[in-house]
Amino acid sequence: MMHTLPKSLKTFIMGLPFASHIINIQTGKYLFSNKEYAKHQGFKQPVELLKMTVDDLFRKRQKIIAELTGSPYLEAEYKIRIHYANQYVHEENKSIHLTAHYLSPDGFICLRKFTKLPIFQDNEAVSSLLTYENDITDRLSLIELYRLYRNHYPKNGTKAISSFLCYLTLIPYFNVLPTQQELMTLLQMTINDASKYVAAQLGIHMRTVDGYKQRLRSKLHDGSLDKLLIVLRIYTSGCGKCIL
Amino acid sequence: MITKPIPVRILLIEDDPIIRLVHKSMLQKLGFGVDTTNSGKQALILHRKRQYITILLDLGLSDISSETVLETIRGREQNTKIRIPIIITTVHKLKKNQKAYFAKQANAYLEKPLSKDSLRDTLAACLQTSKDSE
Repeated sequence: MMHTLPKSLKTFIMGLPFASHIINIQTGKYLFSNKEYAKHQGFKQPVELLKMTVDDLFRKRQKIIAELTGSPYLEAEYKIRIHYANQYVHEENKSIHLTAHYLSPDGFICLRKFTKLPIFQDNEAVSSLLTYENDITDRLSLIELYRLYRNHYPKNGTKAISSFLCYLTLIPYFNVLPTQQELMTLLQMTINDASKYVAAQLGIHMRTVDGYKQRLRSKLHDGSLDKLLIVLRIYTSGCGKCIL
Repeated sequence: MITKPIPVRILLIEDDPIIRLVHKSMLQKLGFGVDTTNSGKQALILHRKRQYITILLDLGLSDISSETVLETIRGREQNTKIRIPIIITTVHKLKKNQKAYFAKQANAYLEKPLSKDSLRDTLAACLQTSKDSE
């Protein structure tokens, strides 16, 4: 069946400030994509996507992510959620919003928000599906974000810490990576830097918190925890990644 | 002669809201009444309150483990003739030890995404086994 998309719809999608595409609901084949979506999926031009199906793209991603992290868990869950969302739109003829954790090809964990809308044919059956999506990772608290990294690398705490700090562009601040306990202390300090508060949150003694603070200072290039906390608070205020 | 009404409700335990919506719709289209919950604790309350013909149990619940839900239900069934069919649903392939555990405790397992055919066939097989053992 030929799917001819109205020019007005294509213009609308091209003008959207975030990644958007349309697929054939029966075959999963890409019918249209804007530049943002193509770029997000690692293509130079949207036209390159038109030869592919959603499953083709998942296979391509799976290969990249397996090489990159060796951990298929997050990807499998992401794929399943997208599959079910598409199925819901197809069968219920209704639009849907969803959020999904997503592992980017550069190894960072993102939270993306998707909106999926059915496009109806003349006979009122759903023929295609419009999706637009954007990155809402900065809506996660630092603690929530770190938990995602920790869950994603359950057997490699160092990798979880380094990827998390790398995502926040904080690696240059450290001469040695903090341990998980030191990092948790630092993240709690972004909410309240009183040792009493941190100790209560982590269920540890205040003196232990003071010890972690001391060790954190010794692992920083300039030894200034205050400076690092300012940078982290800029992130939590919604200004995006930390600015060096 | 008065006969007891046959329970035709299924308990769907699934913590992902989208998957829950789709599975509920699939079960309803197959003609079942469906109670849904995203919590293992709530599922155990529902199991005590109502009679279900089958339970669909997702692996990896957020409040208590699916194994705890399964073992609690099986524990309640001890000294009764009831053994409610429990179908495990999972995103990830089961490991060898998990397969052995669920083969003993559950009736079947299905990998997501579930197709209508696999769900219908598995339900039919479980319900038939349950009927034969009565």
